[in-house]
Amino acid sequence: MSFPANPSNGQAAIVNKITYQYSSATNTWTKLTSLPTYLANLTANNSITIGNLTMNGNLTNITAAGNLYIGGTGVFGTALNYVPANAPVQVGFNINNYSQFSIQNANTGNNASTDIAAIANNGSDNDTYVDMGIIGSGYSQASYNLYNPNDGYLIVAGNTITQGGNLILNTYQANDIIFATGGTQKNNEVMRVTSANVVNIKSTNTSTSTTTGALIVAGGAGVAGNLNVGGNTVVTGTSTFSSYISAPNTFGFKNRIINGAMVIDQRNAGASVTIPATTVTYDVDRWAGYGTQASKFTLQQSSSAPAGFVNSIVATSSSSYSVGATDEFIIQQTIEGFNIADLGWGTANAQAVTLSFWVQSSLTGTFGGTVTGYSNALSYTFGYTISSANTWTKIIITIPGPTTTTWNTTNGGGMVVRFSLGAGSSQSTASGSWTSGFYFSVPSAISVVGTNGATFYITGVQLEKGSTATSFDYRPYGTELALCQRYCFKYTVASNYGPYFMAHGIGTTTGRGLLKFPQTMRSNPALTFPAASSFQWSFGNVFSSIALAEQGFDQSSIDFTTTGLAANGGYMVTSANNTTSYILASAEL
Amino acid sequence: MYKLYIPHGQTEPQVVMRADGDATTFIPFDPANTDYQAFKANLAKGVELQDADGNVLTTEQVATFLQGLA
Repeated sequence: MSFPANPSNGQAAIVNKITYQYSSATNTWTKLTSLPTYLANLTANNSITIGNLTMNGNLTNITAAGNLYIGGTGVFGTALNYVPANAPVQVGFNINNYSQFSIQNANTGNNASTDIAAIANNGSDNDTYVDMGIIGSGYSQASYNLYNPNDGYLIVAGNTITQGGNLILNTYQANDIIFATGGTQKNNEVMRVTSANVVNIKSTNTSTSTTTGALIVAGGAGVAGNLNVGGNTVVTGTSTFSSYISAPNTFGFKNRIINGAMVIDQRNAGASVTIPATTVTYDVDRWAGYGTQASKFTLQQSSSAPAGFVNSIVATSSSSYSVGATDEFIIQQTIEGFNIADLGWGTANAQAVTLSFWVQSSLTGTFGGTVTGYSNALSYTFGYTISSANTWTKIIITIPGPTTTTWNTTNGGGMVVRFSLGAGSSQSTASGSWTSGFYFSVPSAISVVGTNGATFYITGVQLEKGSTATSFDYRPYGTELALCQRYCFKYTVASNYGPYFMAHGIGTTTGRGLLKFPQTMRSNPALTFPAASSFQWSFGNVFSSIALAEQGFDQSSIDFTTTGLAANGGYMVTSANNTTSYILASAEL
Repeated sequence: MYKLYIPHGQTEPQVVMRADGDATTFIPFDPANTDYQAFKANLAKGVELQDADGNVLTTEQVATFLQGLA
């Protein structure tokens, strides 16, 4: 350090820790043994140049009216670009690197930290201040165990009287507040509060429980507005809804398959049915078998079922038939058009559906199935794998909504869901897309009818709107039965003279009765009667004929011939000393 | 084999009968009924149809009958 150039008379300088004073008369610097009076009482108008200043005591006598400049405007440095007002202490830098105003508490004790504190006018060391600091390496205080050694912090200590003490993070202008962890790259950003009042949590962590995911809330969460969830929602507690619920595949007939659990078997009561050639033949309600060759398999309700189910339907191969190119053997259910109308199939707004089911087979490999139109030739085949023989396996197939062709949305057939038991090469096509034509399986799929005695069980069949399979819609038995009875109703009796319907005599040998259906049926049903001698009028004579006279969706009139009637007499028609008689009304698809 | 049935008090057949083993199925003339659809398809294939008295209809009579159905 050298003496300042062009000094004024009496100017002092400290060089190499020694104080000198300049005399213009002699143009010399004289060593002083004590500070000059003006140096000890510097005012705003005085200046002093200090080379290296080392202090062991206090720097005093910078009064409230004075400023301390370090590195910036004033006697200590060059002018900065901006000189703040109302800043008694100003520190300026001009360094092309990180510039620091550094403080460090070198103490390694268990209570040491390094802090910059701003204290309000009414504040103190433990009240009404904001403190930014870092914990020392030796820190250990049981009463402050939130803090670990070398933690950084920003603390506001509030005031119990003014109730102040909020911590305000404010960008003031329209800018964001960004939170990042683990680095300084964009991908280290975890949360951003935007100037548009959006809190954006950037983490993509998946939630699989209440303690995982991008946002974990230990307590409750209140949401005043809408809540949109793109993924799945799992609720372990009770859900209470105080307004309307709109959910496409959760509430109210979400399963478009009827009797998907194979519980109801009005026609056969558990008996085995051999499937004839080219005739749709029903087994359990709503489920039919079909084959291009006669007697290649049977269908029967089974009590074998996966957990949560009681029944299934089992197809048993009756021979070792090698399927021809045009052969098909299937289990199927046709869904009424009314029940798929909301899917929008055949339009640009066609909705996807998800088919789920449980299967078990004595065979393993790739099995096939299909969803087709009932009145249009459009097919979506699917393949699925049974890896372990005689083991229940759940299969889920998501099917995009077809945007072409016309799909019936009235009381005719809408779509057909089929599970193949064997299909020839011309009846099979690759899975995964809608294809023109009727196809029933995928190429090279397992042929159940190809192995004598092979079994194929299926239950829990659900077809629902959307791309997600939900739990099986296990409807009340009465509800499921009523749904089945729109397509089939079988009147039976439990006693030898059980009642069927009321009738009147037309003449002495002819009568007519009214048979009321428990459900409005899909169409005017066909009626099937066993031998006429199975019926009689109550306490009277057996019938020689019984026939459908006129038909409606809700009731039938039935003609019969017998003896001993009186014209216009009233009669009850009963079984004729048997419990095997029945009347079957069928409006199946 | 199908047989037409004329209910009491009427002159024209309203339903058709189909023998199903020991049982008999009576099929209404409803285009939405699949048994009726199968009946028409089977007639077109040449399956026998009898009138209410048991007389077998000729091919021409069946064709005429089919034209009159819905």
